Amino acid sequence: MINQVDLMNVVDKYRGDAIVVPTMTGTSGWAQVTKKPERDLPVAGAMGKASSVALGLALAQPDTKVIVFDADGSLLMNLGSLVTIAEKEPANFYHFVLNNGVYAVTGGQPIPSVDTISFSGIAEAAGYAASFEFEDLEDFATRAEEVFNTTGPVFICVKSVPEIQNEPMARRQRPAGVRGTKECITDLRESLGTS
Amino acid sequence: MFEAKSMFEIFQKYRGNAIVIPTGTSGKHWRDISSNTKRDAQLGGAMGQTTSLAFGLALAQPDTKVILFDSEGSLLMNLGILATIAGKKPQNFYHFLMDNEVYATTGGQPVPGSKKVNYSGMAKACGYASGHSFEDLDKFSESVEAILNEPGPTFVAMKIIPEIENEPIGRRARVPGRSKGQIIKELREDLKVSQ
Repeated sequence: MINQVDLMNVVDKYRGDAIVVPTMTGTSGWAQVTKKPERDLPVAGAMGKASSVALGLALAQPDTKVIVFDADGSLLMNLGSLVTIAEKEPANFYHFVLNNGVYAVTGGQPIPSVDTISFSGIAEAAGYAASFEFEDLEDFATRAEEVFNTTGPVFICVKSVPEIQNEPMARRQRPAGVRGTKECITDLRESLGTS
Repeated sequence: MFEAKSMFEIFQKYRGNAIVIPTGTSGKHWRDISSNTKRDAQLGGAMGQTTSLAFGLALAQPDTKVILFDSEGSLLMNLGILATIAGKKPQNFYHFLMDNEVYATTGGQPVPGSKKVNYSGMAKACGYASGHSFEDLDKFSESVEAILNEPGPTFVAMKIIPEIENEPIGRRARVPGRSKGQIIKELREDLKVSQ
């Protein structure tokens, strides 16, 4: 199993000018890693919709790589988006799924079919151009360059360590470095030079 | 691809006492073919959600086979249900998919990924006990009896000839038949479950 911040540190080395779309637990992880927050668009609360937001960005910015840090519980809420993404064949689309097997944000309840499900198998069946599965950080670090040189849409399932939150939601603080959605959109537009 | 009507005629021979839930434009033929209408539940309409309904019936009636004739455009609206079903492992659940590659009810617009998606592969990747695919009626005919004797959850993807409806929805004649209330009432009576 891979710690998400370790994974993200490797991704950051190959990030270049890519737009990064983290969601749920990944949002706080990526906030600790990113060096180009103006190229980030966190989808903090709309569970499952990061893949759709990122698809829209990838279609609108075909010359820019778009990297999504999705999560297993989130993806299951919008699983049909895999088929829509595969259909559109965005060559610049890199879809990471942090597969920790639980709903970490709400206390660590197991996701359905946790013992049997193969997310990369689902992505392949949906028609993604390529799919990878990593359980080991070194293995990912060795192959990360290959991953980002593969023509998208690419699916990368990462077995990751659950970071379970048990504090009642109302009492939680916004994690350090996490910006508001409006600010992120304004900054991203400026960075992309779109009006 | 083969005709839904011919497929239902073959399936009818092996139906036994199963609850059968047809959906979509192709599902309309079942009404004229079924010989055990009290166990038919035409409860479609809420696109994608009939899958969840059939799954609930299978959990509630573990000793009765529940056979769903789903449609691919519908399933894509609730694709995550595959993982929920796989997780609960209902042995009495048979999930047939009538894949006609279009949204037939709304005029035949293509369904995303219609030429790429491997639906039975996707069901197996979620953890269904088995998955089958048929493009040819003869092969379906040879296999259907054995499939219905397998422990579920079983997924059966079939390529079905579309029957596209182009009449504006407001002008379409209402298909004669039992109301949803009547269907539920009769099914309850037949299953001997109280109101």
